Order: sequence, then C-alpha cells, then structure tokens
Amino acid sequence: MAASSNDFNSWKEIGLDDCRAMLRKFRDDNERRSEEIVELYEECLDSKMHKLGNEKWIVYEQVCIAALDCARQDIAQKCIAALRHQFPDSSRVRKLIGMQHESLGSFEKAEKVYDSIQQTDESNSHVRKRRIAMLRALRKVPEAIVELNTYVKQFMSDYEAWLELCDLYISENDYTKAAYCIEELLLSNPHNHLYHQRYADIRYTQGGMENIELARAHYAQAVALNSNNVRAMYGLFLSASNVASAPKCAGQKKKDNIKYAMWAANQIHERYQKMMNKDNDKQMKAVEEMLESLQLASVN
Amino acid sequence: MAEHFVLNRQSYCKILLHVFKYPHLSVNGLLLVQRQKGKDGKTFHIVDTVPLFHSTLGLTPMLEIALSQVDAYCRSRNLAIAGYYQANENYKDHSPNLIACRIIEKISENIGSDALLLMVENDKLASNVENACFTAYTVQDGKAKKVEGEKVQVQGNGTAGQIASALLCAKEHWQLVDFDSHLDDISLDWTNAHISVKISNAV
Repeated sequence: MAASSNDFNSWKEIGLDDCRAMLRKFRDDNERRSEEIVELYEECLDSKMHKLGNEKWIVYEQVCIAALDCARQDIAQKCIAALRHQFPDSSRVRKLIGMQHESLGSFEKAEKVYDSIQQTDESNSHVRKRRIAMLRALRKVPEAIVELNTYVKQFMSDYEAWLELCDLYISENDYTKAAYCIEELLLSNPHNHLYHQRYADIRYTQGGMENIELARAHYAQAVALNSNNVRAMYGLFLSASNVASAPKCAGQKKKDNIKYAMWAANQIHERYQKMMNKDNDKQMKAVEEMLESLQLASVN
Repeated sequence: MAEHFVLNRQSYCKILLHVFKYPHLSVNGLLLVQRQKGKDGKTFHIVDTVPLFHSTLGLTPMLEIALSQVDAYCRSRNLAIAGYYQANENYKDHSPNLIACRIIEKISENIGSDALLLMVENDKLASNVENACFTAYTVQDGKAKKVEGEKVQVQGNGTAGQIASALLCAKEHWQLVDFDSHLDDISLDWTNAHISVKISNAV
C-alpha cells in the first residue's frame, strides 16, 4: 500500500514500489507536488533509477519538472542529460531544456528553443502552452489571454486550457468571459459536478438576482451529480437564502427557496455531525451559527 | 484605524506555512486580533490567522461562508477579524490586486471599520528581518494605499523566524489546513489547533 505523503518521516524508509506508486498517482492526478517528488527522488530513486525499466524515462521527466519547480538545477540537469542521451532528437526533451531556461529566468533562450520545436512540428500544443505560461510568468496577463484564446479555438477539447483561461479572466475581473469558458466545458462535460459548481461560483460572484438564481440551479445540479461536493452544498444554501431574502422575492418563490436553503442546511449539518469529535466541535458550532444567521436573514 | 500592528509568533508562522505549502499559487487568509487595551488603544495584536484559500481567490461564495464561520468562531473566543493577508502567485508581484481590494472592502463592511491588508512579499521571505516580507495597506474607495512607516512588527526578537524555519524543516507546512482543504475534507481543522500546539511548544 502506498505510503501517505503526509508521513514525511517514513520516506527515509520508503520502498521502491511505494515510491513508484506515489509518483504514478501524482502523474495520474496531475498534481503539482514538486517538493515531495524531489524528496522521493533524493531519498529513494536516485540510486535506483536502473531498476525502473522503461518507466524510468517518464519518471526522469516528472522529476526534472519537479526539480525545476524547486530550483534544484542539479537534479534537473541530471535528468535532462539522461533523457538527452536516450532520446537525442526528441522535441519533448527539448521542451524540458526550454523549461530549464525559463526556470533560470532566461525567457529569450526559452523562446528560441520553443521556436525551433515549432518549426519542425507546427501542431505541437505543449510548446504553445509554454509560451502562454511564460507570458503569465512575465505578468503579461492580457497577452496571455489573447494567446490562450487563439489556442482554445484550435484545441477546443483541451479542458486544462479552458480552465486556465477562466482563471485568467477571473484575475482580470472579467466574470462574463470566465463564465463563457465554463459554459464551453459544460457543453462537452454536462455531468461534471465540478464544472457546474465552478460556473455557479462565477455567477454568484457576478451578483444580481438572475445570476444568483442561475447559480442556485447549477449548485443544485452539482449536488445532484455528487452529493459529497460540500462547496456545492454550501453554495446551494447561500444562493437559495439570498434569493429568499431579496426584497422583491415573495410568495411561492420565497417559500421554495427557503425550502431549498433549509434542505441544504440540514445536509451540511448532517455531514458535520458525522465528522464530529472533540477536536472540531468548535467548527461545528461555527457552522451551526452560520447556518442559523443566514437562514434568519432569508426568513425575514 | 489602528496605527500599529504586532504579529505574534503563531500568526507569523502560520502565514509562512501557508505560503510555503502552496508556493506556486496565490494564497490568502484572515488576521485575528485581540485589541490592546493600552493607553491609546491604537495597537492591534494579531494573535492568530485563519488560512483561507489557495486556488482562485476572486470568487465570493466560499469567501462568504468562510467569513461567516470565522466570525462565529471569533465571537466564541473573544477575538475579532481585523484584516487579511494575501501572497500573490507571481514571485515578484506583491501589489494588492483588485481581488485583495474587494475582499478588504467586504471585510471592512463586516467589521464596521477599516481592515488591514497585509501583502506578503515573496522575494523577501528568506530575509532575516522578519517584518521585511510584509507591507501594510488600507483600502479606500477600491484603491489600496500603503501605510507608511514601520507599522507591522513581529513579536519575539527574531525567534519567530527561527520557529518558522524549524517548522518548515520538519515539513509542518504539509499539515497546514486552509479553508479550501477543509471544504475538500470537512474532517480537517481550519483552526490548525495541531499547528498552534507545535508553535507554542517551540516557543
């Protein structure tokens, strides 16, 4: 069984199999756990790379990127050297060299590497994404948005790119365009509870009765798709309470929204009760107070 | 508006742990005080922080939930929310952005007075001078204004930095829970009582 990444002290004794399993998990979940990956490499893998068989090349790539993230140029250089030796003409390896330049702040050198990769392979999406990442690193957010827009027109199914574009728009306070990005994702992924929840978050942030009602609908959908999505449950409670407490809201609409809010509040309360122990009773009280105060506001 | 802020060791350490746990993301959190009942009543002692989020900071629903719960928590402990810290994603960027200004205005509305905005300067975190990595601002009419002079101090004559270093070496930052992590797993404690214990033991 793979060791938990929280058990730091056990990493000194971590076995090769556990180590490989953890790295695999990080790759599969696309998690940026660079510090941990570098630790695993140093504690376990460094002397044992030859035991990994063909997996070692993808591990070298993973460790290289983690090392660049942690400014461990020594480890990154070792990985790049090994990969270059095995794959001398690979554009994937050259991309890592470009990233190495980026990590050293040599953005012009990185640009040259990416140019040369794109000359031999016009459709290389990775290089285009690195260019956009460089624009972000240089704090050129409007330029990054323009480039990313061009990118998603060509690579419409790249969900990561849409999410990144959404984040960029949010950072520029352009919530309408951020919502549009998630709408694109929802078109092709209508059963993804996280997208519904994210869409609802954006609409709620925009404010105004229409947006909050839309938010409530999407929070409800997220909860229907995954009842463990606590954010969506809280969001449903918040948006329904908001609608119910609006001055123009009356009659059946008000009653319905109070009902939704109460249902969500009960669900939240139940979940916290299941988790309750002497350590988090103060959180339980905080949750209860919050639910009460927001509910009172909606009833009045 | 208070004229001086003193961060106790616990607050200082928790801010650093939060920033170090997510070095590639923007992070933010709330500053909690017990008001100094001194001669002038103008010094705020920041005695604790609640780390809030490490992903998209600009969305309000979870922020509202968090503010509400932290508020309830504060009332039960005779504390108050007095401010907010933010560390930007970009290493060299420590200017208060639109998001920080909006959040401060929301907090100021909730607490009925000007909240303190503490921006963390990422490139000064390794400095030996503990308060070098903090810049204080107030926000008026949506614009952030730097607070002049040495308004933010860190308690402890250098010991806070030592404790923070020790915690980081022991990888305690991996154990830090912010409100985002709590929403992912509600069994996790956003008051970080486990970390507070380690900090008081180290003092």
